[in-house]
Amino acid sequence: MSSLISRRRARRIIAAYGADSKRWPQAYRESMRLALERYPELLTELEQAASLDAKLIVATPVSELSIEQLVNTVTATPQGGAPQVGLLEQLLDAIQPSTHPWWRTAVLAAIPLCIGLYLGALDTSDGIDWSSSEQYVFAQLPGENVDG
Amino acid sequence: MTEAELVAAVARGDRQAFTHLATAHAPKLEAYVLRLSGSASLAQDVVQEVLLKLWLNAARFDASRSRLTTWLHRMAHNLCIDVMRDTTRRQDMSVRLADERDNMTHEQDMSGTDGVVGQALLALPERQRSALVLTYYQELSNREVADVMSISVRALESLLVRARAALRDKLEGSDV
Repeated sequence: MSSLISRRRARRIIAAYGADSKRWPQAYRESMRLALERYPELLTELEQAASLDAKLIVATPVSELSIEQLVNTVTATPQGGAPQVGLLEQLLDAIQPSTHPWWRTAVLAAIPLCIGLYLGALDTSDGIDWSSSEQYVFAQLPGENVDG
Repeated sequence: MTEAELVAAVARGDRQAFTHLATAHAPKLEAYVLRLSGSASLAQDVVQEVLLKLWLNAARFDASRSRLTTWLHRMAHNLCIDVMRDTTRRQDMSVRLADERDNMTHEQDMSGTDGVVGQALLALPERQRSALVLTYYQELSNREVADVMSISVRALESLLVRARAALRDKLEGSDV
């Protein structure tokens, strides 16, 4: 994507990802370069973002892990046991491999609806007869003249 | 050997392949949880749990859906958030005090080069902190971070904008 993006969008990318172009979304890097040429006022925001970026560069915390010990502990657990995932999660993975989390929720919500429809379809009884109450409601009252 | 091949080997019980992956990923996951929670002991527990899940569920990893680092970060993120929220809910003072004692060592460590930044990060709301740490320190793309946090890229950007604004306010005037 190398089309020009709006000043507002460029400003938001700087505000979110900072001044380092390596952190900008790949698809916007070229567009951002063009936007910075076109809107020089963005350079001030870029400088401010660079100042915060510089403050955020900190040393990686010193690792306290012993990889050998970790590997020994973990691999002591035999493989091939029950997988550490729920049945429902396996079912969701099987029926829709999408990575969108909202879709998982939608499928989950659809399950009780499907069960309800299935149970409803199984019910072959005649159901409640509403005709008697209908006759009562629309019955002619004593002395009432239907012809007006 | 590619990472996907190494994971496949782990699924067959290859201890050497597992050691290779643990060496490559464990320190990075530890740093993530440490920055997210501020607790060194929690970071070690989470890393061990994530590696155990990798050892037991390697066959479930699908290289066409995500990179291994994203998969492992998602597990670490979910475990860490669960523990942090659970700890917040608990009102048992003795446990809180024990946690505080536990954190002391780490907080002393963080008072060095990255003490001010570390404390400013820990003061951010949990979701803003996660977004910032994953984007800035874990070198994941915006789509990968959104995937780890189970949010949209748009929501991630909003969190990052708020997190950076809050950090700028906190760090303004500091000697960092």
